[in-house]
Parts: sequence; structure tokens; C-alpha cells
Amino acid sequence: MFNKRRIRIITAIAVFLAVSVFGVDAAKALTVTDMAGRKVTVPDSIRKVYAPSPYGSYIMYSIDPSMLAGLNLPIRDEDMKYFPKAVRNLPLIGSIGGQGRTANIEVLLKAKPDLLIMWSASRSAINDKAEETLKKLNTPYVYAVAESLADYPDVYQFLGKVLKKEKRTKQLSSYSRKTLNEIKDVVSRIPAKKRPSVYYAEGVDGLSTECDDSIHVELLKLAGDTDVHRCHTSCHKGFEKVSMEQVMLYNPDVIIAQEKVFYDKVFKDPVWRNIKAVREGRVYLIPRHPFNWFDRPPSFMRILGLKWLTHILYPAEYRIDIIKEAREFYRLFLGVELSTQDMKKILYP
Amino acid sequence: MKRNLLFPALIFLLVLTVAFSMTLGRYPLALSDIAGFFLFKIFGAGSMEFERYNLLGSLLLDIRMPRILAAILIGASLAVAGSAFQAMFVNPLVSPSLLGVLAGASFGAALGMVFFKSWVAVQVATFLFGFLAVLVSVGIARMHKGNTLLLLVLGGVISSALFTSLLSVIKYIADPYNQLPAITQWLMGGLSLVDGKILLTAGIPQAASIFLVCLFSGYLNALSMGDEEARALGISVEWIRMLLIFLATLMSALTVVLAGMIGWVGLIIPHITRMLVGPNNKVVIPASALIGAIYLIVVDDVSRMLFNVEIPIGITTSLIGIPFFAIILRKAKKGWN
Repeated sequence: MFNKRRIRIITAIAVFLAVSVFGVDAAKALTVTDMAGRKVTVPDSIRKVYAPSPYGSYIMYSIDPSMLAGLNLPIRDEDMKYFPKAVRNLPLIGSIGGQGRTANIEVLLKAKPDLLIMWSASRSAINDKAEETLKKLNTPYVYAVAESLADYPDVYQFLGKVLKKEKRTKQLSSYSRKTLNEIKDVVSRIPAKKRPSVYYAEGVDGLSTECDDSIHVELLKLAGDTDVHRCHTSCHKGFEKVSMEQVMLYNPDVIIAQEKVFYDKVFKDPVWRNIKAVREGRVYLIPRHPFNWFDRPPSFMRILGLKWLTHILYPAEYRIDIIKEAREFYRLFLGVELSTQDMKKILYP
Repeated sequence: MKRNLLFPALIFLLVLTVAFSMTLGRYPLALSDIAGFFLFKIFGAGSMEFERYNLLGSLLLDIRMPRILAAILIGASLAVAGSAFQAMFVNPLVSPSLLGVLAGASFGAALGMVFFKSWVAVQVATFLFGFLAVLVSVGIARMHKGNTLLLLVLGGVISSALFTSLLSVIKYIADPYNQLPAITQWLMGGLSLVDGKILLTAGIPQAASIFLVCLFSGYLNALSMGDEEARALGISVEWIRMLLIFLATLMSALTVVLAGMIGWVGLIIPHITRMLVGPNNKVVIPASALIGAIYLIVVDDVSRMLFNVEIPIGITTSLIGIPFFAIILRKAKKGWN
């Protein structure tokens, strides 16, 4: 049996606790405007975040992977060496509203992120279905919006502000901005007639490709806009089938290849020998560790991919030591120190 | 149509289709070019620049020819497997996928694409899982006593469902950026991956199985009268049925190895054939092989020619096949009585 005094004491303690918890919280929160224009109140000290879409996860890998509460997609074992130890034991949580594995909401709640980092390709593309799920979580979320690679510097700055990592993201955003401007400058000085035409070969047969306006070949747009496959992309997925005869008609100067299986056989294949790029030895395999430099997924790695591609297309006009550049990029963005030998393995597997 | 005219007519039509398809493609070639190339190659007649000769050789012999040969093999295999199953199960609505071979092979292909690095490994997985799926159906049918045909159909339903859901599992764990589009594309079917090597490896067993089923077509007539009558004629029903299932599975699994999933051919072509030649399997089997081959060459021509991009052939076969099937459905009963 409780007597009245005891009840009073307990109530007082309860009130005190409630005030201290909520009051402190209210005092220690700040309001930011995210990139979709929403006003969001975010907690002052953010320890753990979760990015329920692959794009958001990739950007976090470059900012600070140890802040992640979980993974969105499994990381290949051979790629684990590019990540800090903290990432190795993270649970696989999955995505909300979109591609890949669907998140188990309860696992997500158990991971207790302080903030969710959402990603959208435009303000208008914000997914209502995902919003509904998000509202149930009672966790604040902010949108990073990137319509193109050119938005990456802003995304870095915005996330730096929210996560209080401005010093780190300033390095990343200025590197990105500098690269974008540098390439624009190089390419603008090359007359359209002198730019080599490029075919992007996907799939094991090399006969899938992308329309020139697809997000998947954004780097080709930036590096001279000479994708041979001129059309309007009908769906985000891309991966359009073309026939060998079509490729022969295109007869590109350069081929950028996604699959090693294709790359290994292309020089020996009598049919592909008809293509100028193959005859002249200008077929290049895209580096893909830990993430693809060019596409699938289109991540921050494309900043380096842009340098790599421009160097391939215009070796005389854009003289860089790609190994050195790549090592620097890995140091800055992924925080790993690779030897020249290791980098060669990534570049020329 | 008179029997003795039918086969020469079909063979002539097939040759005509092949010749015509050689002239089709995105790369414009004049007939004179093609004729000139072959005259030069075979008889050394005329003259030709080396570059031009190489280009024509690639276009005709490395790109168009393998595709046409593959279309012949696949069309004939699916049509023969379909005809054999329809006769064996005494049911005009079954297709080569009845015992799960296509579902199993698709699963094998997807599994290979996610876990193996080499394309040969993918092909082997495709083939093996096609067989495994049929073994599962036959195993389920064997476990129980009763009407063998009915149990086989049920076993097939279970096996197809099992491998279809396993395929979904693979799709779910595949990398959504790279592997998943490749799997999806492959499952829609396409002849772009065919080359001389796989054509030989898959083509020889396929051609042999088609030939064997033609030889056994008399037994199919007996089987389609029902097990009792067939036994009364002194045929070891179980044995023959298993042999025919084995041959049909072999050729169907190889079609998936060659070109991914191509549906509807094995259902429709047997119907068309029976409308033309009546129910006698001794005629239906070889005739459906020829008609299936012609049909698939034409469908692949459409896939190759219609747009700048290739339409997956599995889509074309369904889009052409379904309305056609709906139209002939009324007449489809004809070939059975």
C-alpha cells in the first residue's frame, strides 16, 4: 500500500525526470532547412545516423562511416579493407521505399539513429510512400537533394552543417567543386570535332548501354558529351539493349566497359575488331573498388571517375598522373592509404 | 495440304526465311553486297577490298548467321518439346515449361549471374537447374500412387512455384544497380549473347534430341490414347515417357542457356502445326520443328529491326503470340479430332 506522501514523492521525481529529459532536449535542438526546403528540428548532438537509400549511404561513407547505425547494402568482403573497422560489424538494415532490400523497421528502430539522411534526385521526386513510413519512426529526417554531380559540393556542405562536421565536408566539397571546374575548363577548350566519340558498354555481351541524357552516363556529358547513343532515356533503370550492328554503325573512338568478362574477350573477338576503338586499343575497363568510378551506383566516386575519364579521352590536353590522383582521392574521401601497387590493381585488374 | 508436298514446302519456306533474314539488320547492306561477298568467299569470284571483306564477314557470318542458327534451334526445340508434352499429357494447354524446366533454368541463370564470375559457369548453372527442376517434379510424382499424368502436372506446378520463388530470392539479394538489371534483361530473352562456341555446344545435343523425338513420335501417338491403350499395344509406357521427358527437358534447358526465357513458342506452334497437318504426331513433330524455326527467325528479325534498341525476344514472342492464340483458339480444337 502506498501512502500519500510516497505518491507525492514519486510524482515529484517523475515530473522532475520528465522536465529534465524533455526540457533539456528542447533546449538542445536546432532547426535547419534541408535541401528540399523543409524546416527540421534536429537534435544537437548527433551520434548515429542512418541513410535508408544507397545514395545517402555512399555519401556518408565518404563523410564519416563510423557515424552510420547500419548498412544499406552489403559490402563485398574484398572491399572491406577500404572501410574503418567500425563498419565491419554494422547490421544490414536495408532501404525505405526504393531499391534493394527493404528495411525492417524494427531493426531500424533498434539501431536508434538520431537522424535519418534521405536522398532525392529532385524536390518533386520525393517519394510519398517513403514519407509515410518515415513519419511512423519518430526520428527526424533531412533531405539531401542532388539532381546531378554538380550538386555534390552543396550536399557535402549541407550535411557538414547538420552533422557538425563542417571542417571535414569543406575539404570534400571544395575538392569536388575544383574537379568539376577543372574538367569544364579543359573540355571547353577542345573543339567538338576533336572530341572522341564514346560507347558505354554494359553487360557481359557489352551490348547494353545508356541514352546520352541518362544519369548513368552523366560523366560522359561532363567530359565532352560524345555518347554515341543519342536518345531520350525512358526509365531510370536504363541498361538499354542495342544490337552489334548498331554498335558497328556508331563505330565509336573509345569504349568504356563495365564488365571484366566483356573486356577480357573484346580484343580477341573478330566481330568487335571491326570497331575503331577496339582496333586502336582504346577500350577501358572501369575501376570498381570499393565502388564503381563511373556508374552503378552513381556515387561520389564519380568525382574521381570524371578525372579518370577526361584523362582517357584527352590524354594530351589533360595530363595527370592518374595513380597519384586516385591515391589522393582515396586518402581524402575514404581515409585509406593505398600503395601505388594497390592502386594499379584497382585501375588495371 | 497434301502430305507429300508439306515438308518440301516448309523446308523451302525455311530456306527463304533464312536468306531473307541475312539481308536484315541495322547495318544497311545491299543484296548485291551480300551476293558479292558469298561469291567471293566461296568461288573467289569478283574482287573486294580487305577492310570491306572483313566487315561483311563479321556482319554476315559472325553476327547474323549465329543468330539465325540459334533462332532455328530454339524455335524447333521449344516447338518439339511443346508438341511432345501436349501429346503425352493429352492436353492442348501444356507447354515445355510444364515440369518446371524454364523456371529452374532461369533460377540457375540468375544464381550464376550473382555468384559466379565467368559466363560459362552461368551457362552450366542454367542447364543443371533446368534439369533439377524437372527431377523435382518427377520425384514428387513418384512419391505418390495414382494417376501418373495428373501427379506429374501437380509436381510441375510445385516445382515451378518453388524455383520461381527461389528466383525472387536471388533478385532480392542481387546488387540493384548492376546485377539486377542484367538478370531482368536476361530473363526477357535475347539472342545477342549467341556465339559460334555455344552454338556448337548447345546445338548438337539439341539437334540430336529433336531427331530422337522425331524417331519416337510413333510412341507419342500411342501415349496420347491413354496409358491403358498404350500398354495394350505392348509399350513400356513409364520408360518411354521418362525418355521423352528427358529429351524435352534437355532441349528446353538449352534454349535458356542460349537465349534466356522465351515463352509462348512451345504453346502456340504445336497448335498451328496440328491445324495444318492434323493430329498424327509422326507428322506433327517434324513439321512443328520447321514451323517453330521459321517463326522464331521472323520474331527475332522484328526484335532486331523495329527500333534502335533491341526488343527482348521474350517480349516479342508474347506480344505476337497472345493475340494470335486468342484468335485461333476457336479453331484449335480441330487438330485433336
